[in-house]
Amino acid sequence: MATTIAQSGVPQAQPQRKRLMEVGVQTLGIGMFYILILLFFSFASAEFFTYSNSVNILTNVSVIGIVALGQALAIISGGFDLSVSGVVPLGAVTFALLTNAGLNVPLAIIVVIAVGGLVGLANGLIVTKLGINPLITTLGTLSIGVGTAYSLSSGVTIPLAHPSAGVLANQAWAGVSYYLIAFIVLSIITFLMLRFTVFGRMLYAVGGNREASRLAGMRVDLVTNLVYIQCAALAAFAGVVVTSQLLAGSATVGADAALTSIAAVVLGGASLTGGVGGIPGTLIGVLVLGTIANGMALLQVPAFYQQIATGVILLLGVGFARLRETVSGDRA
Amino acid sequence: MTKPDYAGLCDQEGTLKGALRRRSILRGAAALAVAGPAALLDSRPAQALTFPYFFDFANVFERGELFKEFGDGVVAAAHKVGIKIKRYNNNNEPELSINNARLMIQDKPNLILEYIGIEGIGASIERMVKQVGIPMIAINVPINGAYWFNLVNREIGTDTAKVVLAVAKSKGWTATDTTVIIVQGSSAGTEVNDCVRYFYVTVAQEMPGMTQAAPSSITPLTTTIGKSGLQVDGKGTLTDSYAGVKNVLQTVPANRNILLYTINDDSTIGAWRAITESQRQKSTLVAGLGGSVASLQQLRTNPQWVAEGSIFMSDWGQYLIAMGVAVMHGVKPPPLTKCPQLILTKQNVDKYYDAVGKVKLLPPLVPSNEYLAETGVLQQFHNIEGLS
Repeated sequence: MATTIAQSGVPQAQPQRKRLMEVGVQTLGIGMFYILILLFFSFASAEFFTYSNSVNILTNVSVIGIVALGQALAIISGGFDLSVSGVVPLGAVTFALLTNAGLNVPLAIIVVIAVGGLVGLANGLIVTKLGINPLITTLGTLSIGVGTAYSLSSGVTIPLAHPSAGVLANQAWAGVSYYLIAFIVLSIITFLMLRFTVFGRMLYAVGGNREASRLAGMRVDLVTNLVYIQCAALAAFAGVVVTSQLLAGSATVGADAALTSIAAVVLGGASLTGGVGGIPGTLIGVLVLGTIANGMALLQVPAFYQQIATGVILLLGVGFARLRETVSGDRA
Repeated sequence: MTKPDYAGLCDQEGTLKGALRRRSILRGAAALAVAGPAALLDSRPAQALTFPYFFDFANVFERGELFKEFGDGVVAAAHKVGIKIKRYNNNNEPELSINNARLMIQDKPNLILEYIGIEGIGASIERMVKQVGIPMIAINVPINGAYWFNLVNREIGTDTAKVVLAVAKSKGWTATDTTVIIVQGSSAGTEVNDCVRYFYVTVAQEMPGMTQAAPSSITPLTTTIGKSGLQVDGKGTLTDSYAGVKNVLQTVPANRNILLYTINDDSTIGAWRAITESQRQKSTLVAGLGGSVASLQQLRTNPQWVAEGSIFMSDWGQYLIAMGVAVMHGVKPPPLTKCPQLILTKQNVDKYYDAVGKVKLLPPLVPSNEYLAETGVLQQFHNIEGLS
């Protein structure tokens, strides 16, 4: 991707206005696709378009949504993070063990997020200092994370000794859980960070052209490390959420978090080569996947067919967004 | 038929004389079976029996409370009677299971204990093991040519349904206001899913007005059973069962009572969590299967958790080792050796489990399992009702 150096000295993958328009077009594309899905299920199932089911969808996508926020940062910066499938169960088990040992919930959450952050730091350092590519690095830490989770839990599901430790799952208002509120807040924070901060612009620049960014004096290694720290910290928090949901910590959770979060981010318009993408698109991607699962469950489609349908809809969704991008590009 | 004399091969310390190879042991056992009097068996205390065999054991999983404890139990039981045992983890992966089978054959054990999780790869393992002539015991999932040890899922489902129905009827629940939700694990195969299948069939038979269904009509692709039943694929896991039930609850009107049953405790815990999060616990009765610590606690404290199918999996080891010893002595087990199984209720749970969820007593041996008692192995554990 062509790189220009702005007056501030911060290299930008392309003029910001054009990039935002591109992201906007992609988001609009997948957004329209999502509306089509909503319309389809609304007509196909009487239970779909109800308040309780809407809250149900948001609840179901909260965990993968939180993971996808971090994954979006990683992908926009030109990498990706498979280790989330190890950090989610590690966070889940660690939270259960800490609260069962008597640690208060806020402190336990902080410790878990810190553990996630450490995993992210390890990822970042391995990628930046040792030069090992993100695929191998995060695959390795995925395995370490899962193994650690199993070791800590001795392979068994750990129920929360005090159900009050699952406070995040308590309903704050009108069926909305605290973790859903946390997901919304985290989404807003991440969006603002990407959109309005220097760090956000640097992230896009590094993703767009890492070498040019380095030559422009940007601390690309620091940016990369911070991205992986945030990604893993969010995944660890997602582990806390799933433990609160289930009132039990298990090393079996989050096994598909990596691929699902990557699918959601790409569906939302991000490019695996980096430099492109955004939070609104990511959230829509998450909602597309969650809504499909919910809608097909309401229509009582057998699970095997659901997997086929999810794959087909994923391809259609990305194709639809790319088509719209092409059409908009032709008009411009 | 003259029974093998398991004790006649032992010296005064109870150890088999010399380093006997498997064929020598069988020849010796056959000879003693003809000549050795029953008094030889009677005169020796059960504790004295040890057997210097070498078994290989492949567990389906080494994670999840049920399977981890089961694996530990097999190893402990083997060690208790002096049997050397090597442990493998199939991790419920077909390729890994096949690789482990190859490694076990390389070990040249006297016997293989094989627990595969996926029906369908049995033929491949059977072919490998048959070529080298090592006897095999298949655990839970059958393998052609292997002796079979399993719970009878159909009986568990039927018996559980009867307990749950009794409670439902006492509450005045009828077919007009009750929905049955069963949570299957499709990849586990037909036999394992028989429990949920027969649960529904029994409930439907005993509750007039429910949609009747033949067991064969409830397949992995079934999602609805008339207007009375729903089937979810929880894949046997906590999170998939939670997500599946959470979604399907949207289709069940809020004023319906629910009877909930799944294929294992992890699944039940996940499904129950979906029920409580949807604030529907008061109109739901749930039964678990597995006897895990968490589920036993639910049985004791949760008024809606009315039954728990216990298959005493943590203690399968002693039965399997006894079965292995019997096979080594030329006994041909019946087509199916049943594991200990019982439906626990709030009234009888304390008889069989202590306060922390450890087994303290196993149910009596069924008649077809008497051959296990004759090995003397089970007596060494002092924990089977009616067996000293």
